[in-house]
Amino acid sequence: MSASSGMKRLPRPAAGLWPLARRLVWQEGRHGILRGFVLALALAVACVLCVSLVADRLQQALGLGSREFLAADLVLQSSRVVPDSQLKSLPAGLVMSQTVSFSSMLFVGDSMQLASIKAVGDGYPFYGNLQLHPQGKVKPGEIWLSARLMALLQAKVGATVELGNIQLRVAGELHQEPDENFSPFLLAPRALMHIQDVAPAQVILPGSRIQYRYLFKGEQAVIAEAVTRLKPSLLVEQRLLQPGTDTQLSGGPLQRSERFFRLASLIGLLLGALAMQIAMNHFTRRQADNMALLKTLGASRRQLWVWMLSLLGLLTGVAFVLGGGLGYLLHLGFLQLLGSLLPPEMPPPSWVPFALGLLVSLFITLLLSFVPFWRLLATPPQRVLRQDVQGQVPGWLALPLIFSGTLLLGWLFTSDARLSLGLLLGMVALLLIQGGLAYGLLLVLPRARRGTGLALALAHLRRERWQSLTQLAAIALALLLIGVLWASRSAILSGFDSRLGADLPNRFVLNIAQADKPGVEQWLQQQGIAHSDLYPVIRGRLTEIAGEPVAQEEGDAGRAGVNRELSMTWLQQAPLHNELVAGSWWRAGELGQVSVEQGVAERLGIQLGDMLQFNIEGREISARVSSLRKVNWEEMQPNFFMIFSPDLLQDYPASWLASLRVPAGDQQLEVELVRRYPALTLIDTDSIMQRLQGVLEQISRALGLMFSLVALAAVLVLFTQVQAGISRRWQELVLMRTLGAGQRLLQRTLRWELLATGLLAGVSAALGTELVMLTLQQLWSELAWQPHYLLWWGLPLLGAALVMLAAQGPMRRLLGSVLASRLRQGG
Amino acid sequence: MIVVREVTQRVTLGSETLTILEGINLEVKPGETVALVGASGSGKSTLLGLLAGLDLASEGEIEVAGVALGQLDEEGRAQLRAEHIGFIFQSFLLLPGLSALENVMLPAEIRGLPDARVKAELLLREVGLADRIHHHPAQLSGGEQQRVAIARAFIGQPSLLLADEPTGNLDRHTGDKIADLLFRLNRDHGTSLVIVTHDEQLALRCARRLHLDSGKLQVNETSHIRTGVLA
Repeated sequence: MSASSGMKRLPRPAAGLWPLARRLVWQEGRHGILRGFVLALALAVACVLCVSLVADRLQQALGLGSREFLAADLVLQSSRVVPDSQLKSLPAGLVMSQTVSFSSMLFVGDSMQLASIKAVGDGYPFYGNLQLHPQGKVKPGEIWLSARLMALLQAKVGATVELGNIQLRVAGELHQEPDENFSPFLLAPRALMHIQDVAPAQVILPGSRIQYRYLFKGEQAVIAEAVTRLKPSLLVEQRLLQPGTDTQLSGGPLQRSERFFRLASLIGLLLGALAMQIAMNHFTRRQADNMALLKTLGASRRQLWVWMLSLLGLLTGVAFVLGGGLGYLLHLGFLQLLGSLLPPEMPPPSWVPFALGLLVSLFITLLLSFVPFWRLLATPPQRVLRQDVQGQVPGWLALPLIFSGTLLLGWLFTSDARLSLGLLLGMVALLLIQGGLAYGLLLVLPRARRGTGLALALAHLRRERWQSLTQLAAIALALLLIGVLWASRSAILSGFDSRLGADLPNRFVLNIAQADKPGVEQWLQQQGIAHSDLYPVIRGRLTEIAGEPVAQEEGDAGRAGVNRELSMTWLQQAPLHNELVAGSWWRAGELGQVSVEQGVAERLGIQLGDMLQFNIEGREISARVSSLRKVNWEEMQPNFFMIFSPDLLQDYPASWLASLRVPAGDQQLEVELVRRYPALTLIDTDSIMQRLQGVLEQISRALGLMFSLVALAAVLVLFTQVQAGISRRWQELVLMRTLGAGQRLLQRTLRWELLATGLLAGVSAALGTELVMLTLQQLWSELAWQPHYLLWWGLPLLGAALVMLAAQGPMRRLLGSVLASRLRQGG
Repeated sequence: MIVVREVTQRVTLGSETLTILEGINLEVKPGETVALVGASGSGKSTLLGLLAGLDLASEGEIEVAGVALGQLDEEGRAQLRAEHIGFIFQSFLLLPGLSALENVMLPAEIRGLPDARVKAELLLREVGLADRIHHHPAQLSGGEQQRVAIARAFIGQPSLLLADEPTGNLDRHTGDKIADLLFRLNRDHGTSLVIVTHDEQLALRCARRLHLDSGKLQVNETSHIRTGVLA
């Protein structure tokens, strides 16, 4: 044969190994280790997708960031009336409308109810959908009530509603406002009235929590000019809102829960990645012989790449379809569980979460497969002749790649690099600690009688140090997460204690005008109603701590602040229900002192002796921190972050606040109080607590579903690890069999090994769970740590049971194959 | 078919360099059967690996089908194997996820040959496994697995067949049957055959026996036994 004819290069088809990839996915995906890979990826996709779908639909429902959501092209928001000078500086060509939002009591006959009221001017809204039933306009002398308020007040269209000093006619039902700041924690039902009626009602007092909004509509250039002019003159309490800039969820607590959901789903994603990594490593190790064979049979590099990529593509595709379906169903479950906390009409999801799910699945697959596949591709063909020959690509290369990749993923998903880094480092640390603990326990176990299955099992676990260590670490981590989820869930639920206690105050009275204060005090005394002292309330903002400006909104530059306006007070004597923990009460002869609540001081890094600056009623005032106070917020007493010495604030106009205990069932008393002083606001804290508890329970049920997903991911890690561990045992078991070990001894050895692994990992996980719970409770809760006895026997049993369950199928196949391996030598 | 000139193979283990093969010269003619025999560690498998282009010699030159292996990169050597060389291994090396038929089709699929399925079915019939074509390796006995491997080796109509201890994992009776099959197909297809073996009887069935001792070719003797006795 000549050289030329011999090397006539016929291109080998790139897809030559496609049938092989397809068959491998089919075979390994059904029974083998790739099933673990596909399920783990599907679960990771489901974790990402369900949370993204809920967030996406919520975002759309709230129309966040859109012109419709703002009801204007530009909004100037403030807690005080905007000075005329600022408004006059605006360019011509702008149309303006104003809204004022506040809370006040409404009466219909003998029924009264605290309502969250918005008073709007003509022209409102410039954009978006204001749904009134029957259709109409908001006119002076009329009020529109939400369905809930209508029911609470037992009002009908045409009824007369009393608000402060005025009476309004119920014009109809308020269905939807475009700029309703939707929040599940919005506790007072809503009402809409005309802005002209606000002043005569005389319900707005100094110290009231009010939001003024100035809505502007105009040409783009005019709006831009208005923004340019307004920005430099913005006061500390003012904020400019434009479409596209205000994209955060408006309900702060909902936003916080969303972060919690994202965090939980990130844990699910990371666990999925861990299971995928275990499966992928195991798969590629087992494929080394096949790779060498394919090279020997003459497969080209391109064919091998196509083979591997098509394998990955198929796996990812199957996992995406499975995970997509699961994620979609789960998100429906979340919507169902969150139910009334969500806006009533949720639009269908956009394509974005699905694209995100697909991207995440591709990214994570490539991330986890890159190094194992690279190593696999580097397998030298000589391996067909000598099993000890291996490729030159070191396995540890995968670690930095996977670490940085998952960190990036976590960062993108939670928008919080520190949180993602902390979580990832925490998981790595837990893996190491758990593996070390379990292996340490293994070493101190007493030795079993020689020749028994138990002795062989323990000897194997001790001998194969790294293999045992990694196996124990992964299984213990999975059990630990299940333990932590269980323990933290029970901690959250037990947190709902008897705060609705018998002797605690059950009403707050706010907005008591200066002139009404003596009358209210006298009336309370006459009626024999137990009540707290009356506290003056002045609203203001913290602007500087020790000379450093603080941020006024989340995301603003500057030192961390409280991000909102505070209700503050001044007092001569320290409140009895507060405990001074540092410093002393007002030092005689010293002016300008402030006492700070301990928690907020810690959060903002405020030290005793620091100078704090506040903006109150447009004026800057400074005060030196003279003491720190511990406040028990659950006592339902009037409490304040900041209490000033009288010299600073006593000349400011203020309204007054007190808490009362109204005897149960005596509704008439409070009606009489509010009738006498129509401007004051009465808050029923019992019903608020009940509603809050309902809301938290609803969220906690939804979180429970998320936790189940995470627990499922943890179980998958355990299953994958057990399966990978078992199928590595083939060669050793064949050898034992050849040396004369009977089927029963092989079976017993394997069973003891699995049992020991499950129990040890369980004990280690119980220890780890207690450590994690101790740390969490130290960091975030004042609850005293208590041992979870159930964990100490529950986790080892669960570990043993899950490991045995995971091992059933693979163990049967392995033993079958070991027995057959000798029988089939002939034939 | 094969020309080996002054081939030496060294490997470095840490600071030590070991000479596995030294000054090997040999020639295998088209259709010839050659046995490579020798003690364990004598370098038989290393030489087989070099003949297949799985590795490159430290010194010397090897030509297969008129092509110098040293001139080819790994990709070129893979292509040469795909077009000219068939393999049979001691441990069969079948892909466990594939059926007998699919295992046999594999080299043809790699080369993109037409009618891979028809050819594979014919070959499986030829090796006596017509009724087991859809079985997976785990469902086949050792002898049956090696028959599948032989069918796989012949599907690409190679001009050279390299076999590494093809009967090493089989009992005598089965081994003999496999050897019969191998030599029959070899004769029918006119393939050159190089067998690495410990098995004296198998070696004696080859036209020539080459004895390796500590990496050197010692004896070159001609077998008196005809190839393919049972054909």
